[in-house]
Amino acid sequence: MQSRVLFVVWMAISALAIQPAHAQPVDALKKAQAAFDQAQLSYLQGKYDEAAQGFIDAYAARAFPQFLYNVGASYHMKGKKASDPEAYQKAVDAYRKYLAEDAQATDKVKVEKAIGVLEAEIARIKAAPPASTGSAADPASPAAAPSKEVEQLGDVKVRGLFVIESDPSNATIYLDDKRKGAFATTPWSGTLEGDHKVLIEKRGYTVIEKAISADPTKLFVLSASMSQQSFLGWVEISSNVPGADIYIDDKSVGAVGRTPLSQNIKPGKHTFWISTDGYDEYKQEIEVIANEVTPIKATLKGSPVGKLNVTGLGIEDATITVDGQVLCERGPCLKSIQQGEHTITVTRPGFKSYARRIVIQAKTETQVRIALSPMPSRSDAIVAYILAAGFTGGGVFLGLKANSYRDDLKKEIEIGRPPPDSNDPRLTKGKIFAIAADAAFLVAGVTALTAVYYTFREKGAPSAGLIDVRALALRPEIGPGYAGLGMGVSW
Amino acid sequence: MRRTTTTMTTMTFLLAASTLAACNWTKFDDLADETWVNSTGKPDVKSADWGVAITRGADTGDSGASGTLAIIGAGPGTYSELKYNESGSSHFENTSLALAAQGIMTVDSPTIWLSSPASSEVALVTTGNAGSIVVANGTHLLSVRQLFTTNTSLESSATIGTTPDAATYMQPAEFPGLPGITPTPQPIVAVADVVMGTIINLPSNTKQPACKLADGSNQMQIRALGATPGAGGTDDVLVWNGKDGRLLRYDGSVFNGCLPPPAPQPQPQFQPDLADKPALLPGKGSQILSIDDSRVLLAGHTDSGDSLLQVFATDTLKPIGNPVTTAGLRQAAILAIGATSYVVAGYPTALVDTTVSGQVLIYRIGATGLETAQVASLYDAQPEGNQSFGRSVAVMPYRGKSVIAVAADNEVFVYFQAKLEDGSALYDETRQVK
Repeated sequence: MQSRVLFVVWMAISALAIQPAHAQPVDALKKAQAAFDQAQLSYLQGKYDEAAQGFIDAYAARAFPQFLYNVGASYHMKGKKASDPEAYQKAVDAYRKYLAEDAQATDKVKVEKAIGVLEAEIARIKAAPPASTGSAADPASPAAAPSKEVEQLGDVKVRGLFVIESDPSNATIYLDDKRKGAFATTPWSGTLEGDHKVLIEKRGYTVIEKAISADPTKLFVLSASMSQQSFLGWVEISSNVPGADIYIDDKSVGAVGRTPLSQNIKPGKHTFWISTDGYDEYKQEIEVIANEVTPIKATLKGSPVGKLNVTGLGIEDATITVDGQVLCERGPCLKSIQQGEHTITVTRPGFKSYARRIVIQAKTETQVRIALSPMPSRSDAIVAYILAAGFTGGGVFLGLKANSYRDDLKKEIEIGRPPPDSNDPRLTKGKIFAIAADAAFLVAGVTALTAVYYTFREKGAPSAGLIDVRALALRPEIGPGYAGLGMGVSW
Repeated sequence: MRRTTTTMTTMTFLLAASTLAACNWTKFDDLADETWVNSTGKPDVKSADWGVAITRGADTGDSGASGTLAIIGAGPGTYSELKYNESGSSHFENTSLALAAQGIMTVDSPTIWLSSPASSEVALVTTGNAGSIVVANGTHLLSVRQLFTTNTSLESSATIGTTPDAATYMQPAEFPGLPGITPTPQPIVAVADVVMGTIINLPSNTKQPACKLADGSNQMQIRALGATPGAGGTDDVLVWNGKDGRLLRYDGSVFNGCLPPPAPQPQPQFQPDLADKPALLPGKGSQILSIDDSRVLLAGHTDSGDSLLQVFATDTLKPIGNPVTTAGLRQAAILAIGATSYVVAGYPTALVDTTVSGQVLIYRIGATGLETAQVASLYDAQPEGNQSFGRSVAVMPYRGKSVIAVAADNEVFVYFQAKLEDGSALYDETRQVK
């Protein structure tokens, strides 16, 4: 089995994800939206020429490459329905222009494949002999039916578009959670699906926060008009270890984001904590001045910590403590702790606790796979306790009886009417009761000790833990749309 | 660590609790020593009915720092001595014997079991075999002598039975055949109307003296014999006639003269010097007990259970004071505490609470006779049915004092203290207190 854990720090994303800014009048956007909506309706009605023209009009109003793709899709479907080589050709032209406009299109391979299939289909149709009784568009002729390759492409659907713009532009877009890092900068267009929270922030301007519900088949434009806030300061926080958690003023509220992070902040004195696993915490108090940029560059120094990873069956109901302090209320538990010898204790209701002294080494992950054994039944102890209680009760009863005899006899001896004699049966009975009481107390004591032993004795297999230690290492991580530094461990 | 601490704490608690809760059973042994009534069960003797008769086994001079009870068992008959040490504990002397081994095959009921007024000697009078009466006496032992009623000075002049009716110790006169030898008190035995002597070491060819008693024309059935000091250093003999209930007194000096050797005297007819008639015709086992030189107590009962306790003057033979007629009397004894005498009377079939277990009633003997209300009563604190508590009673010299002994079925009680009904002491602790 191979597992992969990535700790990715975004080094630079802006150049890879940002679309060129196109400041357009608001009426142009409205015109584009109206044309898009009409074109999409025509497409759904099978009026592909009208649909294509609508998307062309929309593109003319706002030159979003997705509109060109939709032009191609409309002609594509027209050609497929009528085996029309001219429509296919218009589709090919539109697809090519789309790729030319959006060189980073994520569907580039797919579109290029479609272009190839359509060009072959054009050639096939043109090469086919003309039918005697019908035109080239006659579906009954062999050339009228789409080729197998065209069929395999399936029906092409026009695409929606999500556009986020701001005034002024070049504001930072965060999606859902600021701690996930910057998503893009305005203006941005692309495809989004589902519910999201969009946060747009720019130095010196108020933060715009908007909840959206994105439909991938529609054109949705989020246009943010940001008002200037001259009384705010601006911090630009970075660290030598990207992706470090940032806390401002109050750690208890949690991290506000991860490095690198730029955001508005009220002027005044602020405390910043920047930390990440495996490094000492960085702390700095800074006076933020209104309308000025305050850079914070944290240099995190590696600390001798290792990771403790506690897993196992049923660990989700177990509490993990280290050196008497709760490390995780519930498992699985993956935490960094200082190197050195520690006592780990895993407790779970109804199960035998597991305790072990382990040595955590720096830059290693110590995995402990716990197998907790269920607590054995204490019915034997309970029975012993009941017996002990019974014998004690019996002893008390017998003792009281003996004492009653003794008191009666003493009283009668003192009064003397009639005096008990030396062979009075109560003397024997009392002695028997007293001896029986002592015996009962003795048995009760032994039984109670047995019960205590039963209570505390180890019964059944103890809880066990399997310890495995792996080295942790930092390595660069590069992928589409991001570049970063990751640390992982494999086994 | 926590577990160990908890365990240790629990163990300590349990040990402490056990120690606190434990009962000291030896306290009951202490209580058995503290109680001033010693009870002794049947020893390892063959008698199934042990303790049918008790009497003191040592007199005051012989008891010293102890006390001794001489006990007769029946079925089969046994003799045993129970000795009480200064702290009141008892043990059986090794003088015990089976009466059958001595040729005594029968222990009469009621049993005639006497103690000498002048020594530690005791005497068992019972039916013997081959037409004899057995008189077994001795000090801390029993020497058996057979008294053949035909071998008396009366010889064939009187028909004498072989079952004794009564007996008593008396101080006889010097026997004619043994001049210069003052005899010690000897038992005399009554059968019907004849009284026979039991003089030891008679000269050869000398028969035991025997006297046929007469009361004028009244019929004579001797049921009780007693002795009271007479003239000349001998005891006179008191007779309680079962035929008419009269108490008779005979001159004791002639009891060895009924048969002056070598030839028998003519049969004498003794008339009572004085006589009165108690309101009871005594049955077998009735007693004439000496209170002092001038008074005796008649303790009698009929076979149907009617009983009588009555003080009589020995000179006038008239009753003094009123009788006690509580039914069920079996046996009585005289207890002298200082100048005051008491009657210790056993009623073995008396009801105690709801149990027929028997009791002993104690009456004070005053100058005007018997106080008819008992001053004390003794009974088993844990009475058992048919226990026959009080079927025989005795006064035992113990450490220079007198204590009461009571026999029950296979059990003997000795009271080292006794209290009166009003809570005062009849007599205080007689044991040596540690």
